[in-house]
Amino acid sequence: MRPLRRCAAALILLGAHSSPQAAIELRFESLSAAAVELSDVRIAAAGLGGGRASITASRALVAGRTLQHVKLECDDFSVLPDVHCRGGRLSAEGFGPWPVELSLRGPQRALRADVRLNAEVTVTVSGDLAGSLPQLRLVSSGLPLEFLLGEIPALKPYVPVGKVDVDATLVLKGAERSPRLRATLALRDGRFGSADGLRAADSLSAVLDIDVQRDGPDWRGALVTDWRGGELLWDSVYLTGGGSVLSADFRLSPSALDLTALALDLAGIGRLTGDATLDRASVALRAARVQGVELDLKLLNERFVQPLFAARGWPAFVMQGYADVAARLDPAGLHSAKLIVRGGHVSDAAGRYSLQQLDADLPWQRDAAARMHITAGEGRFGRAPVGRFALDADVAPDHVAVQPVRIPLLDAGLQLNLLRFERVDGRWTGDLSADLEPLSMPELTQALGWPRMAGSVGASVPHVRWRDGVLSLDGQLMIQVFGGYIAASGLKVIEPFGTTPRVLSDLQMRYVDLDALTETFKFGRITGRLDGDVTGLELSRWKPLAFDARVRSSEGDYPRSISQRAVDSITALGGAGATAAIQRTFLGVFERFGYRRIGVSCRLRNGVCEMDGLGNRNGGFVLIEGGGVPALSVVGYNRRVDWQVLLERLARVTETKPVLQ
Amino acid sequence: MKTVHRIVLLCVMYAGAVWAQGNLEINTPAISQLRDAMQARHAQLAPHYASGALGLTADGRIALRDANAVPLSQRQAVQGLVAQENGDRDALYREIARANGHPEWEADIRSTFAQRWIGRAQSGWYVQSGGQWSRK
Repeated sequence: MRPLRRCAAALILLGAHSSPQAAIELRFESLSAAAVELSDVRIAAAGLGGGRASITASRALVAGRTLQHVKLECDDFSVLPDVHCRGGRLSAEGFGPWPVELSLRGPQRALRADVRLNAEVTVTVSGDLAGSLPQLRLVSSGLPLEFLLGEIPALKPYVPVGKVDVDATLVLKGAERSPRLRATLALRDGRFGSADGLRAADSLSAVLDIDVQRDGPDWRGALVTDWRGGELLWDSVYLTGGGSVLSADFRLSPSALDLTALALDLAGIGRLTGDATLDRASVALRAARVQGVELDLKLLNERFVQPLFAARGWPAFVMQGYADVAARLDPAGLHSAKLIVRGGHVSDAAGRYSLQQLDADLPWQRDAAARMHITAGEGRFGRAPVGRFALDADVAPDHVAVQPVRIPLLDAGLQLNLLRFERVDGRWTGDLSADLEPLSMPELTQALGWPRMAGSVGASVPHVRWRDGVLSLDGQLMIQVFGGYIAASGLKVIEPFGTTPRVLSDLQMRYVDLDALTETFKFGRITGRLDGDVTGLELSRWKPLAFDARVRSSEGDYPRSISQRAVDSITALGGAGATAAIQRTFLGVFERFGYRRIGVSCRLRNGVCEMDGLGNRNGGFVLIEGGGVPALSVVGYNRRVDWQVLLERLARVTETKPVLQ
Repeated sequence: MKTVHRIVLLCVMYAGAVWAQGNLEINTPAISQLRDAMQARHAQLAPHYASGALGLTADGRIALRDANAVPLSQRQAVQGLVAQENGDRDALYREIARANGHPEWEADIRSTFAQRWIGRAQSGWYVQSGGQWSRK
């Protein structure tokens, strides 16, 4: 019995007296054959030429799995001339009993064993145990997956089930009888699920080809796993359809599993290659390297990034282009990574903000700073085109500092003086300082699809802080527009990227050229200068909730006149029944009128604007106080105006949509 | 000890008194938008409350308590719905507190709403109390 290579010396022929039914009882301390080790083996048989027999082993080690209390009982057992067990029943602790038919014939010790696991599943083992090339073949169809996997602690919480078709051949090579196993395992109708249901699979089909041989104390070989179909959910990532292939060479030592020449073909996305070492006992990662070339960013984003964002309620964005990735992992997680993007395109889902022709070299290290470099060919910020720019940033785990950069915007540029993020006590903070060079208003308004405006607009942002979800401005944000300026102070944007972004600010407007402003909005022409103050401005979701606003003509000496159309516009704003007290007879005669002062205020609360003007007259309030020849005064009577209605009227008289809604 | 009890009782009464002044039905454009968004989403969430996949938590949010009750292909989408709904609920409590002129009431408003949602939950829905889920 050559395969039983190590037969312990303690072979004891006890004789019939120790077991009343057995004529022969054999006891082996241990028996071993290829991939099988039996301990404390007892064979009790009625005789060598037939009759009942019982073979037990207190422990069996089969292909690395331990079975306790293994027992084979045969109704008809013989050793001479050939070994056979008919009407057998095989059992072990937690398994069986399974009906077994077994025979071992001829000088090659040709084995044939049929083990019927249930009505549908039979495992057939056949082959030669002796001769120059001993080999065994195991074939089974529909073997339960849980039976194959056994008690692997890491897999137990997932309760894997399925049916596996197995065709495995074990060959004992050379004088050393070194075992080599080649197997194809085809999984059908596989499924698993974690208790919370967030890691699960259904209708999985996959084929595993494995070729493994003994190499000293290790096993080494190669495997290919081809996922052919089914559904897979892993946290937020849901994949369906299969088409992904994982292949690797491996070495299984008593302490570790080394995977080399690892290749993962992700259907449509590209190929990841690398190597990894896992602890054998805990299956924990010791080290890994992964790299990928020319990965399709569009599919990578759709399958993996967007689902992760969606599960957190974050907005989706669109990506195109190709990327190379490289990463190193150690037991503490990601050690370093590098992402190189070529010809990329990134935009928000609505396509309002975008960067195209994006090339990026983005290294990252856990324990050190790295410099990232990004160039963008063109882009859009809203409707405004953004020109080519190159950006460098120093990135470390606890800080990101963008080097000063000028981003071309229309005919001017946004000068980013400072953009820095830091993690302090586990929370990220940010600081920004920027200047917007004077932009041509005709170009800006055309790009935004607004009515054409003359002049230019520039802005200066001395310092903005980002702390705990709040953007707050130190000092004043100055916007130069219409020959004057608008200054924002006390500006706070609360949760700008949240569900209900909120803005708090005070605004100051000085010396704005009314001629340019009113011409722009087809309001009718007003010549003059305007000052304004808005206090307690509060926007929610970018819409005004409350403010106290007051605008008035600027102090000083400058031409003051108002056209007939502008008068009509102002009276139309008052709505039906709230027309101004104007002398219609004059209107018909003159195109333009002189005025001395303009003044209007609105206190917005609960969607209602409480209006006032320069002073009271005849139960109304004066909006325009006449002066010069011909003079004209406009008086408002309707002090409470619905804000939405006011916006609609404004849209009508300016024949455009209001910018602020 | 009696004194301590009196102080606690006073605090509770004071909290109730403060509360009585708050208006949970207050409306602003932001609140209205949030309510509309939540109402539109409810039709998608309702079958998952009924199946037991989703439950109402004690802190006025919703939770995916048993994803196994959702077909595998829909679990990802349901996770997204839960994240959106919780974002809107958090914003709603914050907005109502602000609209009342008392941002510091947010936690009280949240807990009042939590009781209200749970009170109005349909029979068979799962609700959370003391960290435990129970079927209404």
